[in-house]
Amino acid sequence: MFKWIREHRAITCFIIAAVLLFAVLVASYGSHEDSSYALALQAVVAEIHKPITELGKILDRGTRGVFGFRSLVDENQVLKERVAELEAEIQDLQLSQAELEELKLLSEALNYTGVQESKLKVATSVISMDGSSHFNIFTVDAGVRSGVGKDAVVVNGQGLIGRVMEVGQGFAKVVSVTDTNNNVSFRIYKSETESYLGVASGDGQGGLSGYMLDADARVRVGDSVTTSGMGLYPAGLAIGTVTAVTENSDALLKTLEIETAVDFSNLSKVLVIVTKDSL
Amino acid sequence: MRIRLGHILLAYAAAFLLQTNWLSTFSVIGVSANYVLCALILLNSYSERPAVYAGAVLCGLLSDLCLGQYVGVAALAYLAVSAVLRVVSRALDQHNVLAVVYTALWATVLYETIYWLILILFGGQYRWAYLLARLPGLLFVNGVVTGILKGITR
Repeated sequence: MFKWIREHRAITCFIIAAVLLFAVLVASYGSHEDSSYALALQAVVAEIHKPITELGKILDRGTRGVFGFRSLVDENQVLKERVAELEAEIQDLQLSQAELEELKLLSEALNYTGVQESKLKVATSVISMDGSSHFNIFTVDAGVRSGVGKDAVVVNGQGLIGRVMEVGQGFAKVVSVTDTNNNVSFRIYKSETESYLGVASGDGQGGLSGYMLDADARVRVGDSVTTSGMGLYPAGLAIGTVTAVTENSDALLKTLEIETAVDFSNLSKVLVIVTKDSL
Repeated sequence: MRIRLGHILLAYAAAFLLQTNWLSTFSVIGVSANYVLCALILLNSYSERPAVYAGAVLCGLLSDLCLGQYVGVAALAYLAVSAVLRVVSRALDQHNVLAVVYTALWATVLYETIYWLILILFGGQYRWAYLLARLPGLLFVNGVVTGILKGITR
């Protein structure tokens, strides 16, 4: 045995490494929260990323500045942050007063959370993301120090991005709404008196798929999908647009495919909404 | 070109920071290059030191920790690619740019397949069709980046 190990050192090292990594994988699968060591390591990496992200932005702005647009770029950045905040407020105001009254009556029973009930909104930047990965997980430059907590909701001017998965002192790890384990309760408004509820989650292909709670719901391709306010996400945030509707008469179920409103390949500025659940 | 430990550390540090930072926004068909995989293939073409493989696995662990759902998926995929690279690369002329690009192509397929398999094993719902849709973009960017780096450094 020992003779074989001595003669096959490389193979032995690979096997030991594979066993150790598999054990780490199983442990992380079973654990829903990172250890303090893992959070400390992530904090170090986040601190390294911050200046590089800033350098990237300076280079980007500098390149544009050569062509005389530098001031416009700076102004544009400020306006983007402001637009993201205003979009969140507009989406919330789109709900009519009557619908809000109705939702208020149901709020306690259904764990309803409106955007206006949020304690804090933090505008922040994406500091790292892996464009080659299957996952839409990224890190933002705001953590516990900024008041951000686990399960805080992340949006931008286009709509709902996701929720905070892990949070450190100066950073937060965000998992996108397209994750297969991320369920979102949604509502499709047809008119002031007609709307339908459903549940969606990631479809494993970068989009969302879901089903309507009412199998007779009059839903069509092109309908806008917004958060319903039940569960984690506040009401009125744009999720996306219906791209396909399938009726399963056997299961009495109407399933949907949804294209997200947010372009996940080009995230820069985001807004973290700290809800009651995430405090 | 003789590779020292400092070169390996520097290459992986740069690859990891590029992959997880602003360069990831440069994408083709919605995907960007896997710079750590490119660095692994490039460094392996110059040296078979254990540090070459250990570096990729460590980058995978860090990447999983910072941007992954489970810790160890990317690290295991890099380890598997390293194991096959060590055996197969001896059969190819590692001074030839085309041979290195060819290595980048099959290594990308192997890495993505193992990554997908591990996710499926742990209850993920990432579909094979989605992987196949992303694969042409990944093959293109990884092949181009590895080819350019090999051309510059040889």
